[in-house]
Amino acid sequence: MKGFAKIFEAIIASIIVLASLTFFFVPATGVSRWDSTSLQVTADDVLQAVYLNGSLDRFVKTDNRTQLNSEVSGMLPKNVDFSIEVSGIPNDIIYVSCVDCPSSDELVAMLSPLNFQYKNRNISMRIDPLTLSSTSIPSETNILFFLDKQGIIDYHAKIDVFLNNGGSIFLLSDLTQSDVQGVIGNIFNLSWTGNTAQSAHFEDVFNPNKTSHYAARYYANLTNRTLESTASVNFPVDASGFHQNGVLANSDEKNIVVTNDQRAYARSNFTALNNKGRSVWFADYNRADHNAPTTKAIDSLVKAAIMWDSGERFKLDVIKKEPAPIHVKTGIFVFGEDPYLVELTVWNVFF
Amino acid sequence: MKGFQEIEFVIAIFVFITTISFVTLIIINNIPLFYNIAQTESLKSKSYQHSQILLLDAGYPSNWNTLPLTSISRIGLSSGPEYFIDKNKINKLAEFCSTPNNYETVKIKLGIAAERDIIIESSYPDGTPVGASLQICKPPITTQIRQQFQTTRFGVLDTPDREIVSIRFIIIN
Repeated sequence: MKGFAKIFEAIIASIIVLASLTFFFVPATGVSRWDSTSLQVTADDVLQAVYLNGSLDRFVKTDNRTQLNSEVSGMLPKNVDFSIEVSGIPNDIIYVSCVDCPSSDELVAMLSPLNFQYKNRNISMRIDPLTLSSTSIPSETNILFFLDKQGIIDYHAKIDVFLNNGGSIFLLSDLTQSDVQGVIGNIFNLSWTGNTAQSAHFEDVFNPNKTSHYAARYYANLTNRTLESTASVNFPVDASGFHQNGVLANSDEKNIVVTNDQRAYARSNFTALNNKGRSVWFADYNRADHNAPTTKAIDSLVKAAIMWDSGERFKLDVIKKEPAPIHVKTGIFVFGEDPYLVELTVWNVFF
Repeated sequence: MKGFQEIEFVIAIFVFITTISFVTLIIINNIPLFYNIAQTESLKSKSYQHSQILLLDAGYPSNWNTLPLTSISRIGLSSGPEYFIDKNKINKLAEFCSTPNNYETVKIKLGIAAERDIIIESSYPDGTPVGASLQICKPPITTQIRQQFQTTRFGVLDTPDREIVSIRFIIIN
């Protein structure tokens, strides 16, 4: 029996040795991720090269998607796809859906001309009426424009979804205290303080942290002014200009035009919902004659606010693309007339 | 003599030694595999490092393209600013490499280990060579059998046109 015990012991010892050294049986090596590193390096190089070559700025300014995509795809490996996104400058085409407007005539009159130049870039505003109760929001829409504040309350749920997906809304309407203390005040981040009639001006045209700076920049371009001179532009609050209102100009970076006694006549909200989507509330004004100087000035202000509200973010892809879940991203700041960011997202087609 | 009489003891020793041998063989068999993977990773890393030096470094001295090969400490194709490539340096490197017996010296100036080989290619994005030929530096004898890894980098020529060029660095183990 003693011998069998030794065999049994040997078997047990063998099992222990085998079990303890199992770790070494399978060649376990970590994934080096050199594939994605190479792709990241290539993406960085491609973006740097097209920037230094001058073609990036040229193609962005001329919105030449075909040439830009052709140049970038010629440098990337054949088994990858890519998407180019520009942010920090107005979209080349701004799609505005006028919600429940009988026609788009009034909005067209306010924003005319719809095709114009911004610092040598062609900008186009495309306006279409939209019956939101029976029609879904078109996928290309950048801004839902409301001339009737009731629409904000009626379509609150749809607006939330739209903002959450990165869309923007614009409300041109006078407000009452109850509006400000309800859904509208919540979406546009407004507070009430009481009516006054002082003329309005840009809050701060020089501070790039404030929406008023961007609106003033676009306004200056639309009215052939310098940015400095927009600081002294006054928008009257009287029968010829803005209607009186009592929305408080909060001490934040979201006011566009304000009075000296802290009333806001145009105010933005760029963290409208879950840090996505932009919104602008704009006090109504005398729109009887769009050729009247004051109306024309405020029309230009509406247009400037719409340019900011468009999101200042657009893709320069030839066809609509969604990046693969595993992708690499690189970006470069282009310091042209207006600084902007170009991001290149690259992914393997077979991932 | 007592041990020989105990057949059970012999069987026990046999079982144990077989197990130890099995484990040892398996571990030993994995070593070449691990070594191969390590070599591949090292090759990829070296390929990236050398491409980085070639693209972003002007070399030392920075006017090395005007000096004889023996006076050069380090070779780089940059004209100075990052991503700007000097076409004269591409041509000079091609000239050095095309001279018989210079290839090994060029490798030393590029910091390449003696046992490895390199191929450097420069072209425009459409495939047209920047210099006289696509391959500006290559070993006298090339082989497809040895393990190799390539890194393609992009920069612009330091000329008024700022044409985009690609530098392909292939390292052979």
